[in-house]
Amino acid sequence: MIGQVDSQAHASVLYCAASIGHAVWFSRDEGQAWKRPITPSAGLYNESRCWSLCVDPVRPDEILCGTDQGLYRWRHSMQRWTYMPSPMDGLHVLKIARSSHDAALLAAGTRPAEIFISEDEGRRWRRAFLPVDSECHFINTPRVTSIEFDPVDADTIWVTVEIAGIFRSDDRGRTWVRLNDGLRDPDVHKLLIFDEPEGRRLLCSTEVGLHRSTDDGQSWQFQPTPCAGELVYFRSLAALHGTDVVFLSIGDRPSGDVGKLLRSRDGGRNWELVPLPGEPTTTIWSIFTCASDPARVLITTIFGEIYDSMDGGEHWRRCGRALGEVREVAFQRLAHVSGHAP
Amino acid sequence: MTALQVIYQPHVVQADGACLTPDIALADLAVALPATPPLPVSIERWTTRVDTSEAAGRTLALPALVLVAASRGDLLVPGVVHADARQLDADPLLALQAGAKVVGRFAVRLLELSGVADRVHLSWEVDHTAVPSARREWPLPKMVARHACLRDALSGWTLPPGFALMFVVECEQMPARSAWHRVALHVPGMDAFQHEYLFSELPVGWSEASP
Repeated sequence: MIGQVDSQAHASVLYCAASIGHAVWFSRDEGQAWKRPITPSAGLYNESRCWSLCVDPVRPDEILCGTDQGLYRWRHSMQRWTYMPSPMDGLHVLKIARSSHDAALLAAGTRPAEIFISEDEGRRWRRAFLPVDSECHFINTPRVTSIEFDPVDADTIWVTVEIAGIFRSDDRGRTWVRLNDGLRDPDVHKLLIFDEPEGRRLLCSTEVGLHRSTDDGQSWQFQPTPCAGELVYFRSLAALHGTDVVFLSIGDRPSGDVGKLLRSRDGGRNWELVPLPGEPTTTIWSIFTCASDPARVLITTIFGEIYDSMDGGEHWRRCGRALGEVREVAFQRLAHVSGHAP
Repeated sequence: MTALQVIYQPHVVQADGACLTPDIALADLAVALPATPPLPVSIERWTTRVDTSEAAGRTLALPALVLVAASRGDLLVPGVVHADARQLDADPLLALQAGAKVVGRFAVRLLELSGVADRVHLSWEVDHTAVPSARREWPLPKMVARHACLRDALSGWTLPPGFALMFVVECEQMPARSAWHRVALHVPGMDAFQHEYLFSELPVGWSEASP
């Protein structure tokens, strides 16, 4: 049941936040105090611009981080970041994802919008030639906003690009199809995949609202969300594993003056506003959930106001102080409680 | 195209004054001399720096028009090809690998040249401190006559994504010496698209007193 939380286990949960200008923040006390590893021993300059995190229970010793000076791997056993050589040096590494079918299969998305694939845990990378324009009137250059490995087909990868739309590869990034039919705007932010007995359902957040697809992305329908009111900037989506609960963040614009969280209890069909303690002053940028800790939810606004819930989103708490600009948050169950806090 | 190598961030200026600054990933570079087809050069030679240093006494600085692939229409940029003076005739492919390929940050889209192409020209100035400054100009029609690829580009042919082509306008330049270089593309009705950079000659050799 969601909401049953083992208090002993809390001590072994690490929160992390990828910051633009303060590298990666860590918290060992569920967001009350935050620290950054110091530059001389951390292996990463602690005022780096860090865009993305990849945390996965199958690799409990590591965190991957995308920066604009390359890709880095944190190992708890070493208490330091290690630079990972890749062709992404100099690009903004905006998203990193690990396949649930094959832990060695990684995908990273960048600005300019491109996908890089590694099939050996990040030792070697190949460019996936995403068919995206190099220019974009509104943001100069398109960028990757999300990467999802298909939960059923091990070779299929879904990618959203701002501002270019939704792309799918069925051969691990060797060829791509663009799936924008029916989207009101190709400024897409996040994709969510539900495989249900009655078939597959996709949800996609865009700059002008929510869309859904029931034909594996071949066509999209706009989905009204009355509780969003005047707010149309739909950013992040995340589901609670093993449930029909979905969270969706909305705002007035990027970065925005208003941030709201919506929840659906029926897989995204109907939505309700979630009350948060204190009003977020900007758009909620990242929502993190994880199968290893299915009742926990961690969210951040783009200006680093972080909230968590331990009971599947029924109750929320604001975590400590704001951290400055934050693009992604994540949490991780630690195998051991080390005496050295990161 | 192999892998991403260089991010080029041109300021693409339009006739109406609007400016777009995309990050363009470049992986392939070729240089066409007046008497050769485009010859491949490592994209790592590409630079937008405002200072470069090269081997003293053996480097040529060759003004060039640069064509850059862009999704909304290819870009034209002024640039300078640095090459090894001693190898240029005997082995141009090798000569072109030596030295920076200096490219400006202000770009015009080829589409903007429609109707004014015959009045576009490239200029090159060198401000030596010890000798009088030099200035030369080349009208676009003259450059087009020398480079079939440039003619094709003006006719609507586009580069594949990730490609850049440099068209050297003339090879008979003085060997480059430490000085400010200014290369500019002049398009009627628009401010000049120019790039200035300091060319420095490297020491001939380290003396024993050098660290």
